[in-house]
Order: sequence, then C-alpha cells, then structure tokens
Amino acid sequence: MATREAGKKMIMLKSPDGMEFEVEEAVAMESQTIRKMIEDDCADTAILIPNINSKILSRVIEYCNKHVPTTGATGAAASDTVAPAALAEDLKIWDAEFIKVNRATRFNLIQAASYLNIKGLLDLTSQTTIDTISDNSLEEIRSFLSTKNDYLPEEEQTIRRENQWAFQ
Amino acid sequence: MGNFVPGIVSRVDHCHPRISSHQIEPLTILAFRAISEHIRRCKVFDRKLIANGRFQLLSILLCGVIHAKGITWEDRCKLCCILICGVISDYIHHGPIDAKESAIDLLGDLPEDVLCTIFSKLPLEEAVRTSAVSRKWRYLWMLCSKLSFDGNTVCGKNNYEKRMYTLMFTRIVDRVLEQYRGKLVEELAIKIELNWMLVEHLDNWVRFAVSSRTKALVFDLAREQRQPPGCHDRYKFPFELLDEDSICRLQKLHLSFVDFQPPMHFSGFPNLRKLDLSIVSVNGKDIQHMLSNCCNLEWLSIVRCHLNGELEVNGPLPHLLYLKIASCRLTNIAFHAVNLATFEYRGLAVPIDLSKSSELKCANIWYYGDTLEHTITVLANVLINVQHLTLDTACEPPKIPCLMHYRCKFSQMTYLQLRLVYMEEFNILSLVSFVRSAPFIKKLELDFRFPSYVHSVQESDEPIRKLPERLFNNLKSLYITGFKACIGQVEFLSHMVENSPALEILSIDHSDKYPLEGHEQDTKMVVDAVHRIARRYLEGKISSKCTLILL
Repeated sequence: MATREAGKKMIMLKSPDGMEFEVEEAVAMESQTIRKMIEDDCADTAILIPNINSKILSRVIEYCNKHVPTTGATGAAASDTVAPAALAEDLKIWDAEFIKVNRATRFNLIQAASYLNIKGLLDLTSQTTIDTISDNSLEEIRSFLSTKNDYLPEEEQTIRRENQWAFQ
Repeated sequence: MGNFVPGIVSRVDHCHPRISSHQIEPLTILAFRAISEHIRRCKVFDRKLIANGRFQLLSILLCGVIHAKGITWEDRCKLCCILICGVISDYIHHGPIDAKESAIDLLGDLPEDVLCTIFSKLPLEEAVRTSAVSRKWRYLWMLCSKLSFDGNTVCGKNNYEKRMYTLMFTRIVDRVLEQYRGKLVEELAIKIELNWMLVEHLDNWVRFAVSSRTKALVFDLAREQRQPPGCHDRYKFPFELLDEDSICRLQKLHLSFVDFQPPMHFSGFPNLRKLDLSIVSVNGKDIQHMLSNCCNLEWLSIVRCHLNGELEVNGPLPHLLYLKIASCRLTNIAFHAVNLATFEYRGLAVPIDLSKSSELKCANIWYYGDTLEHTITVLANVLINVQHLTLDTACEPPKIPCLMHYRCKFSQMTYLQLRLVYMEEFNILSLVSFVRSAPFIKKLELDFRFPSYVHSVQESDEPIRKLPERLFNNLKSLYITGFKACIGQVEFLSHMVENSPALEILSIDHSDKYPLEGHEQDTKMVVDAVHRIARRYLEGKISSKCTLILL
C-alpha cells in the first residue's frame, strides 16, 4: 500500500478495463464494501472492482472525494468559517450538478453505488428514478425505462382492476 | 476476421434488405475492415462516434484514407457501398452503443435490494402503478417493503361521504395486505381519521403486522383540524395482540390519537429505536416505567399527551439522541441520557433535569411566557454544553429591571436565536443580561415581535442610555428582525455594535420574521424613518470591516 506525504494512507482501485486509481483510504472507505475489505485486510495491493468500468469508477471516486467528511486541521478550520448548513447547501448544489448525466450512466451509477454500498450516492442516483416514476404517466415511465408494454390489452385491464385505486 | 465476414453479410442481408440488393462483395467489406482497423489503431476516431451517428465526419475520414491507400475514385458506386457497408458492419460488429436495446430495462435488472430501496421510497400507489408497465414489472412493486396508506391519497380524489370513505379505505388496505400475505413487511403505516368503523380493521392490521414480522408501525388517527376538547374516543392500542417476538422486533412506533395503556408489568420494547406519541392518552406512571425499559431508544417525541404531572425516566437511555416534549402539561422533566444531542421543549418553564446529557449541543425551547431572568435560571442547568440555542418566548417584564451579572452560564454557546414577543415594554436590561450569559457567541439572531404599537425614537437626537462595557469578542454576525427603532432597541443595537469588535455582518430588518396575525405591513415612510434612525445611531460606532444591511 502506498503512502504519501502527510501520512495519508493511499489505496489503489482497479477497474476491469485496466485503469488504476489511487485514492486516499478515507475516500475509499466511503464505500462500505471497500471499508470491509480494508478492515479484513484484503486490500494489500490493489482492489479490483469488478463490473464497474473506469468511466463510472472515476465518477464514483469523484463523488466520494467530495463527500468524505473533512477531518484534521483543514477540516476544523473550514467548519470554523463556514456554517455546517452552508456546507450542506454547497454539497446539495454539487450533487445536483453531479447527477446531470445520461440515463445509462445513471443506471450504471446506481449499480455501482449498490455494489460498493455507498448510501448517499445510491440515494442520489435513485432519486431521479423515483421522481420519474411518481410524476409521469405509464407511457412516460415505459419510455424512461426503455421498456415495451408486452401485456395484451385484456391482461392490462385485469391488472388495473386488481389495484384500481392506484390507477385513478 | 475471415470467418467473421460471412456472418456480417448474412446479418446485413437480414436487417437491411435494401443494402443487400446492392450485392456487396465480401471482399470490399474485408478491405474496409482492414482500413477501419488501421484507423482505430491510429486512434483517429473512437468507435462510439460511429454509433452515435456522426457519419459525416467519418465518411470524410474514410475517403481520405481510402484515397491514400490508392483505391480509385472512378468506381464511385463501389466506394459508396464500401462506406455504407463498413459503417453498418462496424455498427453491428461492435454492438449498438446508444441504441435503446442496450438500455433495455436497466432498472428492472438492478439487484433486488436496490429495487427494494427504490420501491420503498415511492408512494405506494406509484409503486403499484408500475405493475402495468410490462410483464417483467408485474410483481416488482411488491419488493416494496414499506406499506404506507394515507386516507387522503388512497381515496382522496373522490369526494366520498364519510362512511363510504372509510369503507373504501379499508377495502383498499385489505386488498393490498391480502397480496402481501406471507411476505415480510418492514413498515406498516396507516393514516386516517379515526371513527368507530375502523376499530375492527385496525385490530386486524395489527395482527397482520405481527404475522408479517413488521419492524415499524405507524397509526396516525388524528383529525386534520385541532381536536375538539373533550373528545376522548381514541383507538385503544391492542397490546394483547402482540406476542413476545413482535414486541422484541418493533423498532419504530408512531401513534397518534391512541389510547395507550400497557398491561401490568409491561417491560417495554427492548429494541425500539424511535417512539413518536402525539395526542395519546397515557398514564404518567406507565410511560415512565415503559421508557425506562426501552433502552435502545434513539429518538423520542411526546407531543400533546397530557400527563398532568411529572415525567421522570430513571432508566438510562444511552442511545437517545433526540428528545422532544411539547404541550404535555408537565410539572417536572428528568432524563438519564448521556448521548442526547438535541432537545426540544414547548410548554411552561418547569424544572428540567438533563444533567447527565453532557453531549447536548442543540436546544430548541418554546416557553409560553416567562421573564428572561427566570428562563436563564431554569435553562442554565440543562444547557451547560449547548452550542446552538433557539428560544422562543413571550417576554414578561422582570419584577425589578436591572442588569444581572450571571457568571458565564452558556460557555459553549456559539449560536443563539431569540424569538421574543413583547406584550409590554421592551426591556433592554433583561435582554443584555441574557446575551451576556453566552459570552462566546459567534452568531446572534433576534426576532422581535410587538403585538401593540411601538413608538420609534424621535428624529431629533434623543439621548440614549449607555450600558457598561462587556465585549463579545467572537461575535461575527448579528441579525435583527422586527426592528421598530424604539428607544430600547436602539440602545441595545448601539450597545451590541460597540461591544462587538469582530462584527462582520449586521443585518437590520424592520419587518417581522414571524408576523403576528392581523398585522399590517409598515408603509415605506415608516421603513425609511427606521433606517434613518438606525444609520444615525450607528454612525461612528460601526467598523469599516462590517457589512451593514438594512431591510
């Protein structure tokens, strides 16, 4: 495991397409999955992150970097001058910007967040889906999900009748 | 490559009969592939660009390359074929990247626990609605493990008569629960105004919760408007239906408009983390005993439960982080909660003992009315380590107005918010004394309200009182709303500015942040006068580093 000045432990993350990312241990530990690996001492050299390509992984690391709780000297100084509420507000704006990605990337991010177990990222990425489902008609949901209605008309009628209250 | 080509041709034939009619020879395709391979190695373009349909740029590139490789321009038709066919073959070879097919129901393919999270965040009716999306989605919604039924959304769009409304609601709930029979349900929430027709159903739903191993139960049965006094027909919580397992399993309990009478020797919910009781009839002794035994409690709110006595919970609650007690007609409060971080209280200024809560950082207190002097004596023992205090009270005038010298009472406090209603005269001495009890504050917010008319100071230079100096060295921002420029306020403002050498922001707003009902907006003339007065009295006192905002 590499160690950089400032005494911060560094962790190497590898994506299946061969890219390597060196990140601070604290940043990597935002992911509960990686945290567990580190705590179980399974992270001697590099951690291979299967199923997550370098493009998505770099986005995930970007998120973790931003959301890692600030500690130590710089952190204390920051919280002295900026109120926690203002910090949270900044983070919200940053999140909103971060999530402006296309649909496929977003689903990939959901999957990555789920695999790496990063609650904040999972909440953030799934929120758009939740909003889409709650605000739109069935047809719009289908197009959002790129899925086709494969029910026969009479089948769909039955399903609607089963829980009619939800379709009013 | 060689054996790959026929495959492409056949697929091209299959998908694009019009192209196949041009009778493209495998050789041309081969030639193209070689070139395109070459180009790719040179990283001239990314294959995604092809799929993204940037054919034009690509064609130019290809033409250039083909030209360089010596394929003559004469056979224009052939060249065209090569181009089109190459692009298509590449497209087929590398698979559609942007095409919808690849995105087919990515969501539906997510792992179950992620879908469960997503569905559990959706309102139930929205989750149910997805059953009509497609066959694959037929039962996906049942991954939702939180069932929340709100009378207003479940049958809200129709203006049913009350009896019909209840009937509809119970039928819908029963219908959904029927589909969930035998499955685990994390949370069951029912929100509807109580009436006698519901009682039997509510009992059944408790039975369902027990059999579905529910961890969170919400029965919100209060009516939207304030309860008429003397209405005591509350739903009697069926303790008899809970077995030992379900009592141990319960982690969250939220009851509203319920009669909560634990049986004799009831020994609490050992794993309960969150308890929210509002308008619940409960006996003081019972609840003290029960809470003493809910040792895993993290969040507790007791609102409008008239205990008419004391609330002393002696059993330690080491995990309790949040405590709210509001309008409970108490005479005395005591908790043993070492990790308590936030405390909210609304009611009379009764003795509160949280002396063991050394971690208490944030407090929100709402007194029905008291003198600031008494408030300090009550709160000083409670809020020893509090950093952020919000105090909302109707200030009663002190018996003997004088500047009190409290020793530093709130030594940790950095942020103080005071929302003060002055029924009678504004008393600067009480207020300054209060603020002085928190000498290290960084941020002070004062929201004044005056139900009756206040005289602002005369425009001619009226002399103001000067209080003895006592510096607030850390005070950086001071926000005042409801500034009417009465003599006391002007004195207070000038005193604070003179004694805050580090002040960076001073905001003075004439309007009320929390307006009282029936109050009219001040006219522009009044506002201008207030601003003029503030400016005049601050002149020469305010440092150049400080930003002054007049609203």
